[in-house]
Amino acid sequence: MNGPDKAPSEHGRFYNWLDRGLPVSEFMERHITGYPTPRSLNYLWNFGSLAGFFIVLQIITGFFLMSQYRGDATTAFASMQRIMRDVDWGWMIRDLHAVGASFAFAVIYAHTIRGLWYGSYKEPRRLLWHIGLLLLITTMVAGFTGYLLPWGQMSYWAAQVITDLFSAVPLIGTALVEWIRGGFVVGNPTLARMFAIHAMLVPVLFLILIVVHLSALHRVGSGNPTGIEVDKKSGREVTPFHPLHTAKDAWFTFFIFIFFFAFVFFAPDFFSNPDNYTEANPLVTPSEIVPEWYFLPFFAILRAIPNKLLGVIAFASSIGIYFFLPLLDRVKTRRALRRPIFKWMLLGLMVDLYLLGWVAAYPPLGPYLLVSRIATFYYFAFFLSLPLVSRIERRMLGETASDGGGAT
Amino acid sequence: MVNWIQRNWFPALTVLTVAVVVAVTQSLPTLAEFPGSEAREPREVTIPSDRQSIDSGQRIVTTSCVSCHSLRYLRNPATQKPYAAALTKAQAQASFGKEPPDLSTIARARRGGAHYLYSMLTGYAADPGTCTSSGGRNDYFPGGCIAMPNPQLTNEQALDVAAFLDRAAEPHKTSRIRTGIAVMIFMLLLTLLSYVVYRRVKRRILIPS
Repeated sequence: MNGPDKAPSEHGRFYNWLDRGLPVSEFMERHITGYPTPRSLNYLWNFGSLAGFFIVLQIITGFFLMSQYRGDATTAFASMQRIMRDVDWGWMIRDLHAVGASFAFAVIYAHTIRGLWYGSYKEPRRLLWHIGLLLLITTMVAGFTGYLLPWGQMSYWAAQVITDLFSAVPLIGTALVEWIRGGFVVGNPTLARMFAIHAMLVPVLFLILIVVHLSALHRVGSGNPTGIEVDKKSGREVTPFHPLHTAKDAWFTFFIFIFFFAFVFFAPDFFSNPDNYTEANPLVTPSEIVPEWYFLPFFAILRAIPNKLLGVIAFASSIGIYFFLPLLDRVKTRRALRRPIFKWMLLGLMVDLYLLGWVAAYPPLGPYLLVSRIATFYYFAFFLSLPLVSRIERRMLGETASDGGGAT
Repeated sequence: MVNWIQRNWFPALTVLTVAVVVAVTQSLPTLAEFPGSEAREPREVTIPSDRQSIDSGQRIVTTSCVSCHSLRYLRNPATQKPYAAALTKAQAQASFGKEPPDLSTIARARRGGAHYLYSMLTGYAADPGTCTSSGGRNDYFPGGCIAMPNPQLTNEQALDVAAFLDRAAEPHKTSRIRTGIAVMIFMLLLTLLSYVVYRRVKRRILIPS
């Protein structure tokens, strides 16, 4: 016990014992109380830690769901009904997990858009960007595999449509689809493996990649809205992560959780498709098969292209192309606002993503198909025109070939 | 003008794009107007939530509706077994051309929820000869032609049935909303408190003493 006469810097006997065996204070000093963080960070920098909180929430609620869920095609839907009707607080755990998935996607997309707007994919953070993209893909795998588990009509048919995409692969397509599904159609083996991926592989990947993502971040240091690298020794430019940013993260997280809980408790079905409250039926196809909102823009790209193989390639490229962004964009200036052409192109991409998402909720016919094709064209034109745009912008900004990574 | 466009072509183009996007998304037909899925928007009425209405709805559903529809996830208090439809699948297929849907999750399984159920139950109309289905014309049912014959409910009965099916699909709705209010009050206080802490920390760090 600490007496009042003890200096506040001294720790208790237990802490000292712990610190002798584990580098506790070294870790705290390096990553929290001493980690130099730019003072100029705006609220867009809060979405990274928010993403972390939502992933932890998914793991906790997922644990409770898993202990009552029965992952078999004959029992899955009924066990979800049991969780929502008979298990104590089961409805709340399930609503937290279902709405939590949408919020995890929302904050991760916001985090990614922050990265695009402030050039977080440029050196010295290129590796950090690539690790982040692996986390984004893990999130998408989590979303897709998890959506099958309630075994509703939309779960079933969305999985049927997405697994069928692999049939576009030349020569081995049909065999590949059967191998992925574990049968000719989505069935019990598919449910079992999706459950294994969702509840085992995904959390392990998340934990590993988050540790790697944070290690890489703390190696190079946080970027900042000005786009100019800070002097990590200057007290005017940086401040330790704690207490300023812990306090900022705390209040902003609670603030976002107000909206999260508003959906959980007052509109739990807001993000979901009503068809998923009907048990999966392989004999009845729903009138419209639409993915969850977070996959809509990519789904629109898939459907905009008339050839199946090319559609699948475009679909995969629409996500994969972010890995090539640091190669395509040669401008050293990080902040989009300083770039005369890119800022408008990037705003256009935001509008374009909205448009793609909007159009994906409609059948690919007439005007909707036309809109989806124009939007798909813009999406890829944005990335593929970047080498040319960068050359023009470098001249406009007066960047020379010898400019190092320290340029603004 | 030409000069201005030359200097500001990119923002001008972007603004134009946004204008076109808004115009396009606003002018195209909505999903409900698509061929094969035309349906009227559910009527905006207050679905009752009092015990009496729910009980009355339960009586109607468990005495009349169960002759064709099952309630797989609800237990009959008398037998402790789920409600099964009196009609077999084969009989239903022969009489109506399709299997009547299970009603235990129906309020969450249809766009518009209880409002849709109420509108559909009271939405039967004279058929000008466009429907071949056993139930005839119903403007709220997607496609307009329904297999279920008109159950001939009064307005109040239809409201009670919708109220009961809403609770049947989500038995914990009351406690969800009640918990939500408590959570909201707690979160607002917590956010306010942590914001005050943040402001104080910020002031101390910006102006070191």
